[in-house]
Amino acid sequence: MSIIQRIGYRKIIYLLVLIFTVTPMIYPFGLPVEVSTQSNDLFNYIENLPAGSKVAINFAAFAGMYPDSQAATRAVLIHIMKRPLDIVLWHSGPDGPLLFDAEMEFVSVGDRVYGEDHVYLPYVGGGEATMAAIAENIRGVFSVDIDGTPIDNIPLMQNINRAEDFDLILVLADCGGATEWGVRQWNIAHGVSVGGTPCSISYPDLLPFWKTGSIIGMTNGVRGGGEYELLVKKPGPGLKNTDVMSSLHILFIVLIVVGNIGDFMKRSGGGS
Amino acid sequence: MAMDAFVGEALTVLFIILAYSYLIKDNIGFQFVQATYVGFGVGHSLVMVVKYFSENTFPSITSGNILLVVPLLVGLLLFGRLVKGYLWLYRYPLAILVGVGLGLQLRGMLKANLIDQIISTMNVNLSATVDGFNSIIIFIFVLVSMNYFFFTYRGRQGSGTIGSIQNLLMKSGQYVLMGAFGAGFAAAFLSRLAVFMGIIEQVVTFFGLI
Amino acid sequence: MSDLFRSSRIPLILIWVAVLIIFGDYFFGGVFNQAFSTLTVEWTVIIANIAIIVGGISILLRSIMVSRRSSVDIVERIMHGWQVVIAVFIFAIGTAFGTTSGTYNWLYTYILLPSWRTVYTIIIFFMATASYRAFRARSGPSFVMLICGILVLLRNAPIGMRIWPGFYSIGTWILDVVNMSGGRAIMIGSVVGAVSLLIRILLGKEKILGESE
Repeated sequence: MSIIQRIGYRKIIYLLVLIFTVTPMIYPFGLPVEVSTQSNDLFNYIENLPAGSKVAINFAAFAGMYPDSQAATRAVLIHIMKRPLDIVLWHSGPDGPLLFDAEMEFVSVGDRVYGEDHVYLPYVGGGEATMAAIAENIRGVFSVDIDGTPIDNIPLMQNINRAEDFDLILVLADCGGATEWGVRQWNIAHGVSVGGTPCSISYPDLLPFWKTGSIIGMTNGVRGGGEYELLVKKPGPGLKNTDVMSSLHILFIVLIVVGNIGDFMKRSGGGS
Repeated sequence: MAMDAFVGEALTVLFIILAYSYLIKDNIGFQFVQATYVGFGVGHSLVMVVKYFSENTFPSITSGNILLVVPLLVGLLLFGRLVKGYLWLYRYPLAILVGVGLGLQLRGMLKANLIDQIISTMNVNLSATVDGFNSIIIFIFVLVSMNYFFFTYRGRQGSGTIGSIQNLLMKSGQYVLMGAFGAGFAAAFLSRLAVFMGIIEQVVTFFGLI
Repeated sequence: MSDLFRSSRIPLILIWVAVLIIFGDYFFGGVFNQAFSTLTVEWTVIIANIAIIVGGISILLRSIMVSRRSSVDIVERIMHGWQVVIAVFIFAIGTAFGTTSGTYNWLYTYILLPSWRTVYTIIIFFMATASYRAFRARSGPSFVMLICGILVLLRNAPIGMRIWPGFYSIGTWILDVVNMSGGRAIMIGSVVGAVSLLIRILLGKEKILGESE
């Protein structure tokens, strides 16, 4: 019995996955990333928003999948915080508040004043119905901000109560359909543009919405994160991991090709 | 590194190794990690929802919005699900959830998922540009893909030329859909990869390799 | 009378009322409709959040049941018991100290995050073995699927551009045209399915309210 048969092909493949992951981490080779049209669209839309525009942010992160959209989310937050825009943020996932606090350690709010140009609202469950409720009447869903301050006492919230009071809604770190809720309950029902940083797994399903203009721009998971970091000129976890991304992609392609060549040779050799 | 951070990182690496031990064989270490995160996740969700009620809903009720007591009471009927003999109670709040959820979803889907998509597909640009070429291809691809789902039509395939055309349309639709699924596989892979990179980076950093 | 309350007739009427209010608000508007729609949507937020609590308690009750069953393997019983213990512990810590406290944050960062994410990413290894063993191009459609998958993988990997710049363009074309067309067809089909599901529910033909129990 050969050594491969003794160890088993599965364990060899597991080992290859680990080697192809760890090696570029220890010895990075630094490859450039091409910026996609969708990421460019999102960047340009935010960049061209007039000063004083109001941006709603639904932080839809959940712990398990967050690293996929973390780079893009961080880069978009950096971009938004740099621009003179008013921000109202809430969480639609129970992990949102803790993940957001950890993220803000890497994002500078500059000379922003809490309550005047940005407000953080707490977590509320309920999925699409909650998105629709917030779009109809924010005060019907939230009576206080994340620190317990009544929202009627917050200067920024004085003239904000419905979706029409906003110029853009961003759905950040969505892996479960929150961007589609935004399209249905904010864009279709109230005419507010939608942008986002969805996970890679949601990205192909959202492309038809980008094509029709319901979504003005979005990033593609960790790769999109690297692209957006290039656009805001702030390297972070997205660009850092491009080498590991490349090496694992190559490994998987080689495994598919080798497996198929072996299968083809076995079949043409008379076996099944 | 502070002591609590070091202990935390060590615990993290231990949990990662215990979880990945599943690749060798299902074992008590993996089951322990699985039970931990399920229990933690449930506890965390309960904390966050109770926090929402205590900071938003109850203060709203006590400050005058007494009508909110009604949905609270209706919502409590959901607990009938857990008590034998009172299962019928939970149908009332469930009916509201289903009705509102379906209504909200469909009113948006009719425009975003149906009308806008059809308009965009029919918006064929006949100019001699890449966009023009792509719009024609999209038009054809969407039509043949939709044709694939006409099951009753497929069951009554004609013979001769009509049969061949029907067969060609169906096969083309199948190929387009398979192409879409291939792209979906690449997307799913990238998604898991991103989380995986973060996990391994934590282990590699802990052991001082980077 | 009690049969009427125990049956699905009144809940079905509630579904009709909710759907009519939501659609009426969207298609006809009007102050009355809008106010009532707002109320319905806000009420639903509260009921949906209570549903999260019921779901969580349901999981814990099931775990308690399994851990008390003597016919179940002892390790499984202990793990289910541990699940309940940790859920109650986290709930107590979160409620007593708050979710922004150092203790809760420490537990969240060093226990929940790594365990959840690691279990989630085990599939990468299985995808790797499946790539070698199961992804076979034995027919035309499966060949197309594999080729498109490989081209999009080369598009996503920055190294793809270095090998040949055309990989990025082709991969982007597959995503923006082929994948989008297929996704669009499925999307249109799913709307038709959703509408037929709504009609079936409204006519009482779909048993979604647990009528069999």
